Amino acid sequence: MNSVSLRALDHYRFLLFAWLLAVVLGTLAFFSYQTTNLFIDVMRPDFEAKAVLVSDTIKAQFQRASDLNFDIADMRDLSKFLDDAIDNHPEVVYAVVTIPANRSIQASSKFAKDPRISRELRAHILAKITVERSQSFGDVVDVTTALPKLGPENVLLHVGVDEKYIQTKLLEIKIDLLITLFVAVVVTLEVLFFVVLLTLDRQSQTIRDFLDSVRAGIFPLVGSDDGAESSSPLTRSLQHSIGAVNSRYRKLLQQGAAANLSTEPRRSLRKMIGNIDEKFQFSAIRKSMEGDVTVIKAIRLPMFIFFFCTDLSRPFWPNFVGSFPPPIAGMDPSLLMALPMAMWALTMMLVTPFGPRLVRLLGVRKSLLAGMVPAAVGTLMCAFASGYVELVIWRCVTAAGFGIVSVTGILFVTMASQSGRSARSAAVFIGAQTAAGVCGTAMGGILADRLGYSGTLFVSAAIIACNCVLVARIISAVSPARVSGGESEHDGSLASYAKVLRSFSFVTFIPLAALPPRIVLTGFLLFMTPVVLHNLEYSDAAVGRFMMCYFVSNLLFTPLVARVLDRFNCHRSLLLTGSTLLGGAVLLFSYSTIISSLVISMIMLGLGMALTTTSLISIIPLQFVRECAAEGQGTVTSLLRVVERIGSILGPLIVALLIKLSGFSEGAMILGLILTAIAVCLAVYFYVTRAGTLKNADLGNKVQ
Amino acid sequence: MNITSAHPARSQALVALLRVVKIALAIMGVMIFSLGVLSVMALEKFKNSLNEVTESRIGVIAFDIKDTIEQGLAMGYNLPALQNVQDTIRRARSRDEKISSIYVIGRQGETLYRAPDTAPDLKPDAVEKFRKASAKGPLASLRDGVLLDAFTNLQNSFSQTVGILLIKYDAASLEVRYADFRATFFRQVIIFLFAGVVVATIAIWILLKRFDQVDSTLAASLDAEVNLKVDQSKLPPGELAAFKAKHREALDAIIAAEKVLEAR
Repeated sequence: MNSVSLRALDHYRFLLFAWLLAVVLGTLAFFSYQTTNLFIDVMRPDFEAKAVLVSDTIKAQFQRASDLNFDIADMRDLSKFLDDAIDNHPEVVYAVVTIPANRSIQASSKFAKDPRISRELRAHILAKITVERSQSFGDVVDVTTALPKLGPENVLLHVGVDEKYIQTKLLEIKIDLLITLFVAVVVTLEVLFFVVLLTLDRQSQTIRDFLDSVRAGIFPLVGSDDGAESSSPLTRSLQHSIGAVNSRYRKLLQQGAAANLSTEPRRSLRKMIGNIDEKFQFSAIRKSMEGDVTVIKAIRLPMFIFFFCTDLSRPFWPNFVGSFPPPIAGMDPSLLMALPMAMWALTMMLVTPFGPRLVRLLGVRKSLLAGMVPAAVGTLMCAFASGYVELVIWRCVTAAGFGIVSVTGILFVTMASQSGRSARSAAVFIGAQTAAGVCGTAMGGILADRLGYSGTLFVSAAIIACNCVLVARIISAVSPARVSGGESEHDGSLASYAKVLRSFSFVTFIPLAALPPRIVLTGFLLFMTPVVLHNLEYSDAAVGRFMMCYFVSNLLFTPLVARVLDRFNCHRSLLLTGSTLLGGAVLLFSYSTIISSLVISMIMLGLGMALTTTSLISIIPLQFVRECAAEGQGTVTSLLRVVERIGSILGPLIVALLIKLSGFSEGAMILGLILTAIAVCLAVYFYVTRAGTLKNADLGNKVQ
Repeated sequence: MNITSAHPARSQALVALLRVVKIALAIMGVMIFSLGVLSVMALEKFKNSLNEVTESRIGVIAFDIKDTIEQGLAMGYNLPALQNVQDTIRRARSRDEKISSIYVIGRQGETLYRAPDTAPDLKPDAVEKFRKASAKGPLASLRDGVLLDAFTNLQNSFSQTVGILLIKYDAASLEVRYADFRATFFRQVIIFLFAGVVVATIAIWILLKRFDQVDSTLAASLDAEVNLKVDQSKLPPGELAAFKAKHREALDAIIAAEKVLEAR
């Protein structure tokens, strides 16, 4: 017995999670591996058949020359002819005609310079071989064919095929499969978190709640409302033990009141009961779920599903909008596509300030539902929209719903998080949003190919509607009072917003800290990156892969950054590092367009965004303690979100202006320099306000 | 159904079983989704790659014919006057048995050359379709039922389009290959799904059983000790010890008060 402790429960809970993850990941990884092998087996003969066909084609052309009685040995400068022959076939490295007897050689123009052609291969081509054969030299396969005897000499045709080209084609397939695997893994993780949370985490949390309460001398009121927890013998045993003490104390009080005691025993009994009441608290209302990690985690799945559904339309939305006839004849197509996106950001910006008041009035569950229902209806109606104006109106309805859900989610995690865990709680929200962004964008493209734009929007609306049921079931335990506890009464009123905006420190800090990440996201990543990469002749798929680097790095770095923040409490340093990295990433992008630089730039961007967004949410209560205490944290957080929305609107406009004024590369460089300058200003701000911040941090600790 | 009422042991087992089933179903759902997404993506990719490679192979033949014809045009001949075209397309057709027919269409949409000679006439609207689509790139393609139509513009030395070269490829073989690949793939998905769910269920079963055993052991220990069946000095260290001590302290205080009440 001595060896068995509560840690064993945690151990088995972790083992269950790890095992399930390993089984699912292992299965999917092995499946992907098998699929890739199947691809290679099936496709390789096709690639090789093409190489042979090219060789045969060149040979046939020489055959025609032979039919016309030309002597190849007498032909001069065949390079133009050989260039034309291999043109349009990127896998063919060279075509060379040799006369082994006198070692004369005529080759396509790339033969002399191509680094893939080794010295050994050149020697092989010049050797006095007379047989037809294929031989590998590094990455190049040399196919040797004897040409028809056109004169007195034997003439050979060498065609080099780049084996790596085949591998490159297959590599693209592998990368696409890996991206899909990544999406599948993210979804798996989300569901696994949720399943383990509902089955074991809550049980462990309940046991710990009971133990912590009793250790503090509080014997909570236990009843039949503990639901699933009653399935655990230990929980039942704890309930039974606590319940027995509670009822015994109640009985003591009843008997004491009913008993006809003389003065001395009565005094003695009163004293004893007084001592008991001093030390213990019986039949106490059970500790609220405020600060409960499981409740914060529980919101992750519904938020993930919601963001996933709204992001499904991201890959095709501009094309979908472009398919509607313009409401005004002659309207610019780019404006036509941009208007619904701008309206989306504008509606969200207008809705966001009402978030805290809505949460206070309705509670988290009803606020989430109040956002999800219009989002579902708006998405559904977008699918059936018959005209451009109708589409824009329903898109605004969706945006309003999205805004409410988004602000409710972030308010919930920031307010319900325990002290010292605020960044990790924020990471729950940011992680769900980023993961959904990755999966939704990838899945949206696949669904749109299969179901069409309207069909995908219909699926999105249907999943949001199902998600409402999930929200109603999961978030039912959280009442408005619990989340809004400690909030200002003025929270969310116009007067409170005005008061916060009067704070010089706030209006200086927020644009420096909150605008750059959004400008980078909407202006640089979602607008400039695809345009510039297309300009560099990268395919759609390649652009998508580059952008995936951002999403993946952001997803991986967000929880790490949150842990570092909670552990070392270094919000300002990380925010500053993040802002600098954003500027650096854009500068690197503008400086070099080689693949490795672009990938590093995207990874830097992901890390920079993880640093800035996670730090920003958790720095607010520390940096603006007075504003949060006076006007409510919800008000300050909402204002932050409003400024972010403004950044989202400004991003594409600023970038479009920069591109128009200076071109792609210079535009990116100017944007990078502006972002770096903002990071410097932020550093100056932190330096100037460092004393105030320290005082605020102390005050914040006292408040918490 | 109130599963926690009458028979605690049996209801406990039922609850544990339901929990295993619940998690196993969730895992199955996740795996069906994940394997489904991977399969859709892989099948789509396979279909595209197969079409791409096939079109590229047709392209080798198409560009060879195009070069031959355009060399003739460069010598100043008109397309209808070129004498080697019929032979060229006949030879080209023999290079791949899946090529159903090859057409050379004139500026007005009339068929100038065809191989085989028995190939049916082209409809005017189809020719118009090819003419529009051929402007997209060096080799365009359209799917027409089981046939894959690959076509390219024929240009004179002044880059003026003087006709269209059309190769009709029998894509039924591609469909067959795609169907074979899909069948192999589907078998693979079923095997992986079955294996994954079975292994996951076994893991869930074993680990939850251990979890419940620990839970029951702790519960039994708690029951025994808080009901004074075990000497306080023998309490094990750990998280439960503090609970038990506090519980004992509260109970002792209540018992002491009860004794005062009884002593009246």
